[in-house]
Amino acid sequence: MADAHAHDHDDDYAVHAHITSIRTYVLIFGALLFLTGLTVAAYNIRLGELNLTVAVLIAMVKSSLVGAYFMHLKYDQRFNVLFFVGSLIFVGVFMAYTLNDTDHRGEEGVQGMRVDPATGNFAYGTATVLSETGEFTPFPEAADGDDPQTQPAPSEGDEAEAAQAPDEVDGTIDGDAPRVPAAPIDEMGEQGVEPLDEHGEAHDEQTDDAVAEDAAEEEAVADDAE
Amino acid sequence: MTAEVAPQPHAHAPTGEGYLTHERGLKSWLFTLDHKRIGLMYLGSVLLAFLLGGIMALLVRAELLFPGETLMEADTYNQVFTLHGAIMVFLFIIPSIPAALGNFFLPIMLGTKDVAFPRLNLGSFYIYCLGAIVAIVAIVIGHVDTGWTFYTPYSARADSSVIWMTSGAFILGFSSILTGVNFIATVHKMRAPGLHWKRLPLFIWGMYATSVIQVLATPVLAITLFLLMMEKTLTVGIFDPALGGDPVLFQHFFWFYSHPAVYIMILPGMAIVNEVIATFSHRKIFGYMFVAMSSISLALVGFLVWGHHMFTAGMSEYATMVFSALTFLVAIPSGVKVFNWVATLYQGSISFKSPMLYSLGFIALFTIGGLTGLFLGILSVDIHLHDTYFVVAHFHYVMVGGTVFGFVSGLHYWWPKMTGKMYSEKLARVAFVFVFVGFNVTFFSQFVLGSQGMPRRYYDYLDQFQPLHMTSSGGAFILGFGFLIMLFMFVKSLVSGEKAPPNPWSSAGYEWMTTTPIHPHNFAEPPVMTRGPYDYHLCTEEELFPGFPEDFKPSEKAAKA
Amino acid sequence: MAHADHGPKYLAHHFDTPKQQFESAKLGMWLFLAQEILFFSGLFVAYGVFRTWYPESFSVGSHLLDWKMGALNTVVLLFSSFTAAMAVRAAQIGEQTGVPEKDQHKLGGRKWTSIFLIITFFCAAGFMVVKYLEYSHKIHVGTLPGQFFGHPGFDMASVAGAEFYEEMEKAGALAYESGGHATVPFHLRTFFGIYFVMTGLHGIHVLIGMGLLLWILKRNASGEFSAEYNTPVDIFALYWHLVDLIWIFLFPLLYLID
Repeated sequence: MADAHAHDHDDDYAVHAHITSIRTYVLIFGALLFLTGLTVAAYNIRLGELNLTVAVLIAMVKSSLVGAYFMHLKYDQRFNVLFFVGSLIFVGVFMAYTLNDTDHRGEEGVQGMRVDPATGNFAYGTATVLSETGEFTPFPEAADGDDPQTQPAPSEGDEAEAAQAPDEVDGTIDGDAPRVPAAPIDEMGEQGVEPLDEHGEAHDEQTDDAVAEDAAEEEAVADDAE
Repeated sequence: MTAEVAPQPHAHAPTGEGYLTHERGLKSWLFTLDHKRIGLMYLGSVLLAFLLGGIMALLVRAELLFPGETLMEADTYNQVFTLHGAIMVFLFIIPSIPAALGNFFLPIMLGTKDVAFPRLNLGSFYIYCLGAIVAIVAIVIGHVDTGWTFYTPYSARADSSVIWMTSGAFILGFSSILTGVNFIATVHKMRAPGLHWKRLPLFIWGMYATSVIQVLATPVLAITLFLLMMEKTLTVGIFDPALGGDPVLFQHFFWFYSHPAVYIMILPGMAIVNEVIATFSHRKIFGYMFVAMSSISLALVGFLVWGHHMFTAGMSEYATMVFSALTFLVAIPSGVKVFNWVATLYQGSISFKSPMLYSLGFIALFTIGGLTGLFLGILSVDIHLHDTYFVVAHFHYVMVGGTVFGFVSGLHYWWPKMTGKMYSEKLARVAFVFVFVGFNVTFFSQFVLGSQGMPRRYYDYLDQFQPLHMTSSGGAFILGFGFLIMLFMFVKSLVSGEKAPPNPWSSAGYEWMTTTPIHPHNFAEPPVMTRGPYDYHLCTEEELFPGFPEDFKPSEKAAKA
Repeated sequence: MAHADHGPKYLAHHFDTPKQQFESAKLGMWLFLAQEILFFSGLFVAYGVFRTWYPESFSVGSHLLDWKMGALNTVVLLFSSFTAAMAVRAAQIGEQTGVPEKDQHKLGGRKWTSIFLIITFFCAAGFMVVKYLEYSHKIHVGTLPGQFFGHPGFDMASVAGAEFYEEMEKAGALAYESGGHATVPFHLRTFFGIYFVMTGLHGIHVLIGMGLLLWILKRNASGEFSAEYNTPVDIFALYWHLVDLIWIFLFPLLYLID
């Protein structure tokens, strides 16, 4: 359909690739190595809260370098850049909306709490309340009585083997009492004991009514929590 | 992904032979790179899937004629409605218009010889077949009763054949993605000279918007189903609450794909209605750019509202409010479309041929389906209506009243161009009456059932619902009968239909400019577009002449006038 | 249709010009890469959700990974990306016979394309070897997803149980209760679920890339590519860089959690 002009105008016809110099490639590779080092260094400084932000920012710079130079996006058609970068916006939407839900579960009233359909009890990941004493109270009604988190049936023979488990291993940490090694993890889950710090953050943020109610049951700490 | 394609054997087809006859034999079909033949193979496959899914639907309705056990056990019933949903969604609706009719007409409407990647196109057809086979094997030998949505935690604990079923859907997803990639590249790079973006037929705009969704949303379905498979094999614990996972997260993942997928289903239907309305009103489409942009914005806004499927699933209230508010945005571009279609009809010279009847049916039914969707987007109302027959009726009004009517409309509209045969207009109209009446009887009664509280997917129901269930089932059989008449009508056309002229509807669309039967390279001479596809005022008399070119005698006609 | 002098051999019949063909292929590949991004996005979203829910498990889990191995693999993959880019450059330059020596590009031509592709291949293989070492260690000590975590059913006095215990202790993952029982964070299994799915899918992409690489290498050896036509090398490299891009994010997100 374009035979008429095809051979006359060479520019419309042939492919003219942009040839990047070796120097540029080497420089980019060097920069990528440097940034990798920087990521590791930032990790070893233990930035705490900032850790994630810094790591992701550095990764973004690195991927921009790879995209712009190694993948030639800098010299590519604008639409290719638009579509590729645009796809990241959709990833952002996906991430933001989903986290908007999961980060706010159970904040208001009881709607939004997650229930383990197998048991009808509240499931892991539900916003949880920790008392100052470090005791785990998933929810008032779940806390007393049944275990709130029942595991799926352990594999056969698990129970029996677990019972034999406590062969002593020297406690190497601070050797007062002999430590008993960890029981198989399935058993631990059954105790319903969350690792203590796990929900530390959730605890700090929980200042609404639901929390106050729960905390009120832990009489002594109620005031502190407010 | 490579672009180079060996020159095809039919490159030197004798002039005058159509794409159907210039090569013969099974091999010339199975290894064809011609988008028209691939489109026809897709058409055959999706129609087969439609037949299967339709039979399942009739089984479901037959079972629900009376409370208690009528035909099958509860367990079988669960499998049958799962099959109905999964086959209709993954094997029929999603590929129906884009992969079959789109594949056939997209390059023709762009005035090019083929899609950008013909081998990829054939590959995606075989991937579709593979996915269909895997899914059907899972159905036949296994026990899949999760519903087409595969919600965890049930699906994670259900029969292991769910893994095969999801693998099938996973594979089908890739077929869909590759079709999308192909179409976008074709629209961008393969347009004929003179065919700039503002002249693009609205069917192409619709396909383009659909393809964007296919490329951006379908991979999320793939990863969701992949994670479900991992959940069932490795117990990764992402969706299993017992392992610290979250079943609602599965719904987020699933609907991030499946809500945009609703637009994969409806946008092509709308795209066909644009063409049909313009042709049979014999008028430039009203507000061309608005219609085109509404397709694109529907595609984009469709990504922001998936949470409205999960209002009662246990999302945070904050998230439900955001999703509810955004849901109403969807009504804007949809409203723009309906308004522009009606405005196009206004003062047009309308002819009520069968494709037009289906398109008008589309507008009416889609409007009902769309508006009831807004009811469901309201949080408080949704609490009452969620998972009832109201939802079932709503999405059938959109999917059947919308997409299937659009698909059937397009099939009638392009049938003469595709096959070179005319069909019996009288039979087509009889079929339309049955389909339209049957559809409304089936699903309008379900609106009432749902608002009275009948939950969806239930095997049994209270006696008070019996009259409405019976009405609905009766309607389903009328609907099925209508489709049977249509099938008969099309078969009759193939066997003994009259030879079709190149432009039986006197349309200004580009696809009618080529010969019938279509040249293997679509156009004997590469076309140059000098007018838009709806510029009736710029068309010559010859271009709009509905009969055979040899019958056209402009001088005589001029003399008479 | 007069196709006799349609154009060069590599030009497919439905394209008008090599430029159109090249740009279509590039666009198609970028669309495919966008698809890949969305494919991986689900994993990143799951990661985000569980990291905010179970920060401590993720922190402990990350200490159970060997960041030195991760860093090594990062460097290997970055280098392979560099060589892939150099391979494309060599292919773009093409054979320079007849060009005066002072005007010639260095490291160009078919030979160098092959050399750089081979280096890329070995880097990929090295990456997989390191991955294998990491995986086999985890399978050995039982830091595995979901129900397989900690070899349930194993006697703690057994070799495997003791190794698991040691591994946990080394990473500071143990907490002791008043009864003297040691526990580890429950959601470590979620962390390892995510770890295995993310790195596993990425690894599958590396393997697919290695397969494609061999195919491209074979075609290059047969002299199919030239300065005018090297699209397959180019779009293969795009795929390879994407695999690298994903690893750039995976490394700090999995190995380097504070």
